[in-house]
Amino acid sequence: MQLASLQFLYLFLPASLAVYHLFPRRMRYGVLLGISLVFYLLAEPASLLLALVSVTADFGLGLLMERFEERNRRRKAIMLSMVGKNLLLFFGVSCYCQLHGIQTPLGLPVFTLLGVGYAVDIYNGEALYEHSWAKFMLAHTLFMKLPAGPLVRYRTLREQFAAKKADLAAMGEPAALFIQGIAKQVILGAPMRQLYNTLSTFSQAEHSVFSLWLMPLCAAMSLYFSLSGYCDMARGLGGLFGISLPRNFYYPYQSRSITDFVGRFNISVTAYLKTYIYHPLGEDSGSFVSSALNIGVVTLLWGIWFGFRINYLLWGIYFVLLILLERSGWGKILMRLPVFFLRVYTFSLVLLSFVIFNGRSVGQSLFFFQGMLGLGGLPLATSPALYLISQYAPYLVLAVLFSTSLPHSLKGVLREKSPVAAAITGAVCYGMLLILSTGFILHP
Amino acid sequence: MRSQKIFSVFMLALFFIPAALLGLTGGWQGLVIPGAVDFADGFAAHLLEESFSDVFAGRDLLCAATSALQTALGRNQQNGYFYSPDGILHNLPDADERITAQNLQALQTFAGAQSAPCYFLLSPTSAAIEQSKIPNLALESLFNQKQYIQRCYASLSSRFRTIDGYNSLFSHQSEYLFYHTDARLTAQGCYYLYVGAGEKLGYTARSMDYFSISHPLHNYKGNLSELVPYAPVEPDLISLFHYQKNARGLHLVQDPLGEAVETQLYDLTLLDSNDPLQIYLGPDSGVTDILADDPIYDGQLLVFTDGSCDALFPLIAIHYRQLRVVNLHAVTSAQLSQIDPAQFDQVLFAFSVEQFGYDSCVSDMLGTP
Repeated sequence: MQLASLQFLYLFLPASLAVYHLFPRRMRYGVLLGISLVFYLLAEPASLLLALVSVTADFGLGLLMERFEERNRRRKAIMLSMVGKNLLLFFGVSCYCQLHGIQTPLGLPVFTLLGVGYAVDIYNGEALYEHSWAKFMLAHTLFMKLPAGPLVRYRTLREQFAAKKADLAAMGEPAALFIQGIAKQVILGAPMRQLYNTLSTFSQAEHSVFSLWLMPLCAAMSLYFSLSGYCDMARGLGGLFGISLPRNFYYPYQSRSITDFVGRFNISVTAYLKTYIYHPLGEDSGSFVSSALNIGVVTLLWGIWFGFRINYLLWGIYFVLLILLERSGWGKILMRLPVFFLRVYTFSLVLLSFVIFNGRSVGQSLFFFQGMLGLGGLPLATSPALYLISQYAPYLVLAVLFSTSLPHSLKGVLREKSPVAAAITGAVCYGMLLILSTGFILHP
Repeated sequence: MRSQKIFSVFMLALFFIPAALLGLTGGWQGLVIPGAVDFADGFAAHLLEESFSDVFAGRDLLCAATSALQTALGRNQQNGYFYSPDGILHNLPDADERITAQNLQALQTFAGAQSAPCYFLLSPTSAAIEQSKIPNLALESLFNQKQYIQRCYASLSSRFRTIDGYNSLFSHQSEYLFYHTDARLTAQGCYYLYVGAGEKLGYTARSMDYFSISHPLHNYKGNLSELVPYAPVEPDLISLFHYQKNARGLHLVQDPLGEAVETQLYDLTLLDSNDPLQIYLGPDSGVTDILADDPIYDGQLLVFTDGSCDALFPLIAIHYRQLRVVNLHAVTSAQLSQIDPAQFDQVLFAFSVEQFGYDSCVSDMLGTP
């Protein structure tokens, strides 16, 4: 079951909300665990079994670790075994799935990396040992973050399982955020993906300079609207069930530098890597070389988060080099330039990065780069590409517009001037958006 | 605070409305509740989504509105089909060269064993003829059917006489040659093929004045409308050409080598069947004879076809005593073995590019060496 599906929207969600809010407050985390397990069962029963076994093992190992003194070597061994088990599961299963062309089990990155974080946190005394299997399981299998995160530290989630009074007035915004997430995925993300997929079926002879520039633009928009759509849905759903989840994207395509972009794109992954890798490595407090290495390791991992392919690795290296360039003084020069120029500069570099990201091989990416620069004798534009853009132009324009903060700023202005008008307009707009999204799900 | 509460209630209510509507309309009965086996197989969500989508309250309205919006935003192609109010046209990919070669070889082999002269008509699809309905920018990437037909014709031996269906249709491209919602040729399209085939087959095609034309069905929606659902396309008109001269009539014999069921030509009750275009040759029995009630010609024509131009054969039949139509998609091997081509004066192979270039039916049924 997907979050942007009819059965989830109009069967699972209303039923879950009704059940969750009908139960007494002290029982709600148990109900939410039940809801999450049913979601898992409906979506991928086999993955549920994997999650149950892995998370229960982490729970048991955590309790075992608690038995030993702080400086006991066995404690360290248990922590390392928890980290090792989860990383092995994450990398092993992901690699296996990628090699065999099958889908990675639902929630695998979420529950394994959360397990790693939990092991390190309790070992360092930064989180309390969990004694409730249900709460531990809930934190790992919370249904809204299973498809695509965001990655949250265990203790951040755990603090929110305390019984709270449901506030009806606070449920409108999460519901709106959820609808916004669906709309991002089905109205803008899906057409961008379709356009990209069609362009990627072009043979080298069919490509033109125009189609090669269009491809990374579509890829960038498709990835953004797909992932940020998921995150908005997760955050919205979290709000409806009384759990606050962090945002994962903060208008990354209007960043003013590559360093800024990395901080705005896949924020929760960046934060996770900083917490568990960058900080322990010493951040950038050492020499330039060690700082560069630290930044390099984190950014590379940020790149291969999307999979284990040479192109993703190169994508990470591309950003490492650009960040190091900005740190070495180029960044200071950039900061003196007008904001508009900085945004164009950053977006252009990000766009070029998607040529690496989406290439099936290094050779293909090189061909694309050459073609984009007009080398290799490619025509400026061909009819098939122009025809495609004639089909998708309005979606592309809307995607570019909604990837900026402009609509949000307009909403803010209206809310400031007239809260009632903003509420009415918001209700109408979100109602229409849900109807439209439903239409796009029914008739993609 | 109050406005926030109202906003929240409204937003939450949105998620409950479809389920409530489903309850009010009794749509729950159509919902498939997955069983334990479905859960174990991992198909539970898929089953539920599919059935819920089918019974979703206001589904057709929502889909039609979404489709209209997508069209307004510039979309005019879906699932490989161009669409406009004037029709749905299949954007054919390049033909499969291997299948084409096999089909041509099968024709050569079959013809080589016959003494009767053989004729080959390869008719183009609407995408090749009605190019004015295709967006200009998409024209360049269209499969060139004219070249394909010429290539196929050129590869056949002199045993075959080829019929230029492409130009017969192209010279009347502004007329109603293809259905808007069906890939098959209209009766009018078939009339122009009939005219074009006359010289080669040896008859003098009758002008339109010799026929009275009736239009018994005005809202036909063909199989393409299912492939491109909710596309805003005008429904079709089914026309019948009745030969008037001397009130000579024709009748059909379904499965003449088996049960031999005799029926009248253009049985109007078939317009209510699943496929109203059966009206031209009757319910598909694989082999159909069209016989003259009062024959003045002696000729017998054997036709192998694919069902793409059924309306053509009642027109050709007025020049023959017997016309036997074999639909290679419906005929069985047993039926085929009973047919003796030597009994016929001429053999016509009439296929559409859409079938001949992609479907090995011809080589499968007529035999690959």
